[in-house]
Amino acid sequence: MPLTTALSILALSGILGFGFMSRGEVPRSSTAIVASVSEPINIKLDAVHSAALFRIQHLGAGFFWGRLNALEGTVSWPLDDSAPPSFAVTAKVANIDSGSEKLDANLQGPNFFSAKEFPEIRFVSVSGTRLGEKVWRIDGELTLRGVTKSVSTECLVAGIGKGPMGKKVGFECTLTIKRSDFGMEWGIEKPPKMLGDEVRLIIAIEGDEVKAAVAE
Amino acid sequence: MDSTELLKYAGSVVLIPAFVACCAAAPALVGPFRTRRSIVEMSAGFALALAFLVSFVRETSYETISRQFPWSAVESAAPIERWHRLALIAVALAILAPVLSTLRVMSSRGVDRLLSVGFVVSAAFVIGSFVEFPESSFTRQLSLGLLCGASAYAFTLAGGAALWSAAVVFATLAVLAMLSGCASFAVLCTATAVAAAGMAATTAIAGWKSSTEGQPVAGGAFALVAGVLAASVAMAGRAYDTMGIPPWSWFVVACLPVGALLFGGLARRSPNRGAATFWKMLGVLLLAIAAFLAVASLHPLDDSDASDSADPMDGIYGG
Repeated sequence: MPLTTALSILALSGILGFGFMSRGEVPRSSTAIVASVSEPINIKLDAVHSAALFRIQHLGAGFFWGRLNALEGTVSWPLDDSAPPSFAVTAKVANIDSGSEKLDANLQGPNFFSAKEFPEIRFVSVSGTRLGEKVWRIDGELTLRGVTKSVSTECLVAGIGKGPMGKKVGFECTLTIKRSDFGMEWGIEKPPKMLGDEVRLIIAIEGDEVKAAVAE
Repeated sequence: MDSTELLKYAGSVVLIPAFVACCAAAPALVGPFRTRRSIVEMSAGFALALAFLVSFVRETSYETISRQFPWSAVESAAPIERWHRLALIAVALAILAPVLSTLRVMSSRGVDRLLSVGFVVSAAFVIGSFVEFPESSFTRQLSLGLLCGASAYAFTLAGGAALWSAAVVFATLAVLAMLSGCASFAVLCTATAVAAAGMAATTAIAGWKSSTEGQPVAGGAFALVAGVLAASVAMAGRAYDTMGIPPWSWFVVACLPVGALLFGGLARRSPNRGAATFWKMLGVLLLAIAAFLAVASLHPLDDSDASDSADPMDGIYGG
């Protein structure tokens, strides 16, 4: 009997997996051990309520926070949390917001994000591992200043709510990167100790369920 | 970062490159070659490009330049940023300066001028065709090429005040770069400006102390290097500007040496070369101030959201 059950689960997983692929939305996440996977819903990011916050140490003293507003992209995730969320999120460097217009312009300059040359920052998830209920470690690829590096982020499902247009889902992901890994080295050694190398990121995402069009 | 570290940094990226450049040009500016015009022009041009290069290496790294060569073994995940091509331009100019000077020495009068024009036109064509900064378009590439030629011609007009003019041009470019959010450009331009000023001062002191007058740095290889480098930096600054500096200002600054014509009459009637250089230099300086005031009137230079921060580098990264 246990063997039959296991085979049934395998078959069901395979069918569901094929179902994902055939919808054109390729979920790039996979779990190490998931007994059964429900149909994921597609979530389109609500730019007004999605932002990335970055934190960096200034002159070896305080932590300075800035925002990248109006994130765009999609998330694919089964509402029963049977599989990890799959993210494809883009931030436009032009949407940087430090609270100072002058600083925003400097951050968009060639010494930092270089908005004219690298206008977008992109994160695409590759796989996920469950850390707890609605908490996942998501491994993915972060592209910043034209450099793509593998990163790990801890994501929690903030909540599932209802908006006038349907379901809304929120996530919060945190990760720490070294900006020098992405070629953003100004202010670490040259000039010395001006800004830290480590950058902590909190990516706050809220999105709306996108209902698949009903075929006539 | 305390003030000592800040001074060390400024010394590393500005003073050392300028000092190296002045040392490289010294034999021609104050030494036995000072009466040989082609060597004077070549040395000053080479030294100007050298100052820019040394500053670039100290501000970024040696690999930033070396990896741009096809045969480079340096591996990096980071793409070559477009403004790093400025270093490649400086390398090319440092090589072209002695080549042009040698060819000019070997040529008859008239042909040597044609050679200078040919080198400038070729450099302008190559840079306009192959060096692209962000948001490039046909118009921008054409502007880059034309500005290289115009700026080199402007330096030729500056005559004996070419070195001081280079100091003013690169100092003004440094200010514009700082205002436009390009701190590294500002550093490179400051180093180049200090090098030019150092060479000009050295030449002036040498001329004052010596009984035999040396040849002035004017036109030829120096105009090629100063003009093409200034134009390239100006167009890079324009391309990367995130502060909305008026685009025309970059063009004007690269051609500031035409200000030497402002007091051209007084310069021609001057009793000696020093006085003529002064009038030319004054014209360039006044044009630079006028350009700066025009930019300031159109661009809010005072930061409305500036804090009372005591941060010594506040202006570089805002706040």
